[in-house]
Amino acid sequence: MVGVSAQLQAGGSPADSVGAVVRLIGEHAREVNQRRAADIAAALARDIREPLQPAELTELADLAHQVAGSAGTFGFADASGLASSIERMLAESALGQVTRLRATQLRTAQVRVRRLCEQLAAEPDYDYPDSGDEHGTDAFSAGVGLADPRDVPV
Amino acid sequence: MSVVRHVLVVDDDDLLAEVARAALELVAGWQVTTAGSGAQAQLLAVSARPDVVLLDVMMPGQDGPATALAIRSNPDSAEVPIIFLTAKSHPEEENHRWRHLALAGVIPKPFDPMTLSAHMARILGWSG
Repeated sequence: MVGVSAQLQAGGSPADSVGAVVRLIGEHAREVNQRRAADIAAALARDIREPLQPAELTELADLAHQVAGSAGTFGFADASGLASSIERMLAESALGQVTRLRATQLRTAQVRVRRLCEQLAAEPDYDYPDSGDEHGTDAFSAGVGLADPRDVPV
Repeated sequence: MSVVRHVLVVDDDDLLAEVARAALELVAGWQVTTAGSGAQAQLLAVSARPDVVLLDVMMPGQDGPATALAIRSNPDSAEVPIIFLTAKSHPEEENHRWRHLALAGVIPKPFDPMTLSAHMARILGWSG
């Protein structure tokens, strides 16, 4: 994929070029995210027969995390939010025992994964929600970056 | 005349790394180097001499925080600004765990490619 931006740089505004790159890469990203969602769905279906182990649930949570981080950039903002909620449910389930609550949570996750698959099959919408101050943050307001780098313990 | 900045983008998702590269190169005219792992980033933070590292938090093996700590621990890269890129829904909850990493800032995923460079510039106090 490296060099796609260079290939598209000739002609058009930067916005047009970036839009073209995102759409081009997005076609492939959608397939990757659909595959990730399908893998989660298949694993959750197996859980009915044999409860998934915590390590497996953690892996599934990581997969959902990847969808959450990727889908929104490629025109699937709602799917990204849904994937985040699935990630949380799977991560919480990985910490718990095999209980009725866990089973309920995983069934809910299963329903959400089905919806996620449907959303990823729809047409992408590249109208990004506002980003910037209200989402991201500098270290000062977040309180994460105030230490002097030289003070970091090695 | 605007300054050409050099950004090290670190993400194990190569599709996202490529979008970030396109966004930063085409919108801001910055130079971009990409790394697909924390270990690779740790080396490039020294050899490529980036002006900033845009670092994904959750990666297999050496994750973002471990990579940031390694970069900070090397005198040759200790002072490079680091911005975390994270899909965590509430990154502020992680703030206390990240405080010692002296981050310049945090940008949430998913990101808007058109505004990514402006967002980074605002965090870093860069103009032009």
